[in-house]
Amino acid sequence: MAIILRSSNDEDFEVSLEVANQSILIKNLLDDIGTTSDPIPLPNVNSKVLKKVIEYCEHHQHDPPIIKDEYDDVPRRSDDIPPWDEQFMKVDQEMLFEILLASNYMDIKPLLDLGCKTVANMIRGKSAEEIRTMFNIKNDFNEEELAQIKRENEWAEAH
Amino acid sequence: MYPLAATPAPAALERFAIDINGQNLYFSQNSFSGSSQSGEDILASISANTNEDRSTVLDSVVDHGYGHDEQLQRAMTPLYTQDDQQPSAESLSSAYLESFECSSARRDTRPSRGSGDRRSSSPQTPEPAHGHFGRSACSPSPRIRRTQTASSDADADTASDDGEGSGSDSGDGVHALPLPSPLLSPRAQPEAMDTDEAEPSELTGSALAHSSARRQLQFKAEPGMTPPEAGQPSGAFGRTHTRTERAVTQQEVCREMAAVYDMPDIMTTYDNLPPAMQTYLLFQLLRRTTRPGLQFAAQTVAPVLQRDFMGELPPEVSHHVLKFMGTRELCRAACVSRAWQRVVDGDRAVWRARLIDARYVEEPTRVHPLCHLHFGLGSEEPARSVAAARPTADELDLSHLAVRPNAPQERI
Repeated sequence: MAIILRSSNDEDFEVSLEVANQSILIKNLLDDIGTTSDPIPLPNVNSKVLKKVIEYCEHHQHDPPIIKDEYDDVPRRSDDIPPWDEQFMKVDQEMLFEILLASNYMDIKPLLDLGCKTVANMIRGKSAEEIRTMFNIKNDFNEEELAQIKRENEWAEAH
Repeated sequence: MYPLAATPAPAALERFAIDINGQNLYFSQNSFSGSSQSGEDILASISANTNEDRSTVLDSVVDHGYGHDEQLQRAMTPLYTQDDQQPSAESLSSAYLESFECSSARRDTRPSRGSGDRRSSSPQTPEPAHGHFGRSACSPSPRIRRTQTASSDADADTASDDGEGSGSDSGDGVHALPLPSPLLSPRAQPEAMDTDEAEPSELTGSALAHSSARRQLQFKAEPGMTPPEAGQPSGAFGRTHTRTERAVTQQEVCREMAAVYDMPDIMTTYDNLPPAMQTYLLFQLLRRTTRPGLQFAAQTVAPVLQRDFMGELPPEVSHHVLKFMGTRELCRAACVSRAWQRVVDGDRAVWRARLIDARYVEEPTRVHPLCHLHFGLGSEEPARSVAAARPTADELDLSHLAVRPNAPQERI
């Protein structure tokens, strides 16, 4: 059974039910309305990103379902990315950003985790200034605030 | 020389469909074809026709020449009266091309053409349809004529299609769109890549923009062939009229000049292309770009593609990122900007989880009073403020308060 996903720019993608079901958004939708041959519109995802998301879902369609964390906020590792996923995530920041938005919108938890891990890994080991440079962020603290925020956070450097 | 020259086109660019006015036009690397519901015939592969097309274009250039002074004058007159100014390079270029088109096949003077900033022309601007493709009119071949019509309609449609559905169906049997030749790679046509101004993936444009360093030298050496100055444009072109031996060289120079003057048209053409074609054109241009050019492109593009993840992502996603960060990274991230600080300091759950993880508090609600005070653990009472959600260095020196005596001596 093929499911048709329609991107924001009206491009259609045909995927298998298994692939489509990795998106909880689509899974819930299909559970509600039954499988349909009508295209499922995804107005928040453009075709370029959707193609990437589908590539991920197709590669991971045989993965065992993830067990829900009993405690969701626990600090997690970000250095356990499999090689294929790591290669898959070698995209520019814009694309990474769009993937995060799309996986959040389509509710694809493993992909969202992967994207967040990738961002966390980009941040790892960098100073605040290096982070600013990497993401092109302006330091909008005034001097007083900067002194305070440094004071508030220096304890972490000591450990 | 051209680092990307041998790069194969990404799969997405090998074959794609463009929807113009409800018509699906299919483009593929090796052949371009237009098809429709009515099952129109498929055009022959461009690879078979490239040489023929180029030669016909060149022939017609030689036949007609560039120097139809009266036509050029006529074409330029409206520009003068309209602007009451000296013609800009763009208007000269338009007039130049206009005369070229007039002299070849089509009689199509458009006074508005060339006035104003072509580069920033919005899709709303009524678009003269004879961009580059229009110059296919040089060719006497009926196939080219047909595709030219198609491009006219395509252009017109793109121009009027700003508001969706506003474009009325003007496609009377429009089934084919002439598409840039993918075959003119730097490897196949190294001599065609020497000018940045050239738009080499364009079928007829490549013929016109054909140039080499040798010809550039001649360009400089030929005083008569400098770009026309305002007020005496015809003089510059007049010399190409005669078919002397030197005419061939001058034709080449003219081609180069045409390429330079094509610039505004290239911008307009690019602006009006469907997105998929824009990407394709960009790719072809990149393949023809030298290493310094690529470096320039990378430097220009990279900052734009940077994203302020914490600041711009939806809160639930940026908070999710925090879960994968170490405590030290969190503290550094808080120093990046106000937006980052808000995200990091505002996430009580993440800090609470860290305290639990470090056994400063015990799940789920047996918490130390100090933690309760700062994190609102075990109660619905919100933390005092965002700034107070997280402990300072002194406050966090809590090792003596470990709740569970057997807890390993982990520290945050």
